Amino acid sequence: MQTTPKSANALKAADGGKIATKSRGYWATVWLSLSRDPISIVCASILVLLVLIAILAPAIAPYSPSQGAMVDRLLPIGSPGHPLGTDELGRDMLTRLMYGGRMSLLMGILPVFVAFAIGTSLGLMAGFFGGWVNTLVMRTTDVFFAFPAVLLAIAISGALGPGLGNSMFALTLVFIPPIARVAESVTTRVRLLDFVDAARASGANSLTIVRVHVFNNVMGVVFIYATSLVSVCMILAAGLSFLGLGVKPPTAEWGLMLNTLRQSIYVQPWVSVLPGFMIFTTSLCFNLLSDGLRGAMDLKR
Amino acid sequence: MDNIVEVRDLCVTFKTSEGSVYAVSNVNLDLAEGKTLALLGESGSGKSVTMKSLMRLHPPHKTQITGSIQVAGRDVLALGNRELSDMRGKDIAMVFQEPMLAFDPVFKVGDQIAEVVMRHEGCSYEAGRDRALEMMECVHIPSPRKRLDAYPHEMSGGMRQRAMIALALACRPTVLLADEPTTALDATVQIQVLLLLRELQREFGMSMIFVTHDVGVAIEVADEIAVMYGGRIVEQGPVDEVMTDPWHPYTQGLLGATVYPNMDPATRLVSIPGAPPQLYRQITECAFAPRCPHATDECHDPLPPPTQTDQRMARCIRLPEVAGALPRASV
Repeated sequence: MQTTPKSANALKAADGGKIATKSRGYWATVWLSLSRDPISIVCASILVLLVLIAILAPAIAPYSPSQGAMVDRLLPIGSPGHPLGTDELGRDMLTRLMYGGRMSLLMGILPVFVAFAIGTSLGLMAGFFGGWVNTLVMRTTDVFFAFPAVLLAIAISGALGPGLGNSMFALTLVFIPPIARVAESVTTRVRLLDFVDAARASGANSLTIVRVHVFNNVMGVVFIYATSLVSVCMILAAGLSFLGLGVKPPTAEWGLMLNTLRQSIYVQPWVSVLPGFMIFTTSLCFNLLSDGLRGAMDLKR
Repeated sequence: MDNIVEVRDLCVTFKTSEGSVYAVSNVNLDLAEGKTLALLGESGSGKSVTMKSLMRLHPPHKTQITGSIQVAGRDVLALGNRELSDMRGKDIAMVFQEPMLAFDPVFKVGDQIAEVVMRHEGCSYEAGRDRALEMMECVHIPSPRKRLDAYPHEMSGGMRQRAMIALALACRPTVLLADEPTTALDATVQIQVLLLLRELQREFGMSMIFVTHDVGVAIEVADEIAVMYGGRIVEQGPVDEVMTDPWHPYTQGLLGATVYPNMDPATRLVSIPGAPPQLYRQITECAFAPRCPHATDECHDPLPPPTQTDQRMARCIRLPEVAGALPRASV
C-alpha cells in the first residue's frame, strides 16, 4: 500500500506550516553544540589558523626557510626585519616556524588518520565476528602493547632508517593497536545491544548491521579517541625528528628545530623554546578540541 | 492453509561453557490466520526463546534447533541466510520489550523505519519516509511529521514503543511477534499499547504471537493461550476456557497469584512456593512436580503424556482429579 499524493497533501495541510521545522541532522547538532563552547571555538580557530599558515607558507613567509646570513645568527625576538629572531645559522625563525608547521602538522595528523581507518576496521571485525578473528586481531595488538609507544616508534623508524615516509609509517603502526582496541571494546558492547537484534529481525544482513548500525555507533567514540591521539602523535613525531630519525636537515620541522637550537639555549633562550611552544600549543588545542567534541557528540546530554 | 504458523516438536538447546541448556523442549504450536496466541510463563520458562526461534534470531553456532517451524508456508529451519533475512521484517516482524534499546540511538526514528521499507520493497528514500509517516499516523503518534526526525532518546517510553510497532508493521507482515511489549511501560501506557496492538491487528488482519508473564495482559489480547514451564508447554487452549477452568496445577497457581477486578480485598494471593527449574539437564519428568501442591510419587516418574481434547491440551498425570482444583474461587 503506497501513500497516495492526496493523503500526503492532506497531511501537510493538517500539520500546517507550524511544524515545518525539519529537525537538524546529527552533524549539524554536534556543530551547534560545539559552537556554544568557547574553549572549543578558540582551539578550533587556532588550529585553523595554523593549518592556513602552513598551507600558505611559501606565499606569506618573509624569507627563504633554508637560506640564512651568518652575520645575523641568533638575533633576539623583536629584531628589526626578524620579528621572532633568527636561528643558529641566521635563518628567519618566523619563516622556519611557518614551514615547520607543514611538516609537524602532516606528521601529527596523517599517521593518526591512516591508523584510524585501519584500526577501526580491524576492531570492528574483531568485535563483531568474535571467535578466532577476535583472538587473532587482539592478540596481535597485544604484542604491540608490550612496548611503550615511544620506544616502538623509535625502534621501527630506527630499523627502517631516517626519513619522512619511514617515520610516518612507524607512527601509523604505533597507533593502530590502541585504536583497534578501543574500536573492538565498543563494538563488542554495541553488538550485544537490542537494536542489533532488532535490525536483524527486520531483515538486515550481517554486512548491513556492521556497516550501518555498529559502525555509526562505534565511529563517534573512536573518532574522539583518535583526535586526542593527534597531539600524542605530534609530540612523538617531534621526538623522532629530535633524535634525528624523522625529517633531515635543513628541512624545517618543529622537533628538529628544537634539537638544533638546543645548543643555543644559553645564548637565546626565548628563541630556542619557540618551536617547543608551537608543539605545546598545537597539541593542547587538539586535546581540548577532542574534549569539546566528546561533549558535543554525546547526543543524550 | 488455515494455520499461518505451525511449530512441531521444537527443541532449542544452547551450548554454553557450563554445558548445554535445554531451553525449549518438544513445543507444538498452531496459530490460525488473524488470531492471537499468548505465550504465558515466568522468566526462564522458554517463551522468548520459542518466539525468537520462529525468526531464527539465536546465534547460529551456539544454538541447536530441531523439530519443524512453518511460517506462512515456509520451512524456517531450511531457509538460507539470504531468504531468512528476506523473510524477517517482511513476512514476520517483531516488537521488542525495551523500545529504548531496540532503536539505534544515532539514527532518526523516521529513517530507521524508512530503512526497513527500502530494504524490503526496494523503494526510494522518499517513498520510505512517506511510508514511515503513514505508519506513525497509524500508531497514533502526535504530530508524526515532526517525530520522523526525532532521535529515539527524544521520545517518551510509550511513544517509542508506538514507533517500534510502526517499524514492525511498516512492511505489512503476516505474523507479528511481540516480546513482552508492555513490560517496560507504566500501567496507563500499557493498556493504550495493548489496545493499539489489538486495533492494528484487526485492521491489518495479521496473526500475532504475544509473549507475556502478565496473566491480565494475556486475557486482554489473546484468543489462544499456551502456558510454558521449564521449557515445555504445560497447558494450551482457548484463552477463555483456560482462564476460567485451568487444568494444570501451574496455571491454577498463576491464576491464584493474580489480582482481578472486583476481587474481595481480604483475599490473600496464593504464591507458588519454590523457584523454576535449572535447565542444565534435559528434564524428563514433570518439571513442576517439586513445586506442585498435588504432586505424588508417580509425578517424579517419566514425562506426563499430553492429555488432549479437541481444543485443549495439558500435561499432568493427575489431571482428572486436579482439574478444577483452584486454590481459590474461580476467576
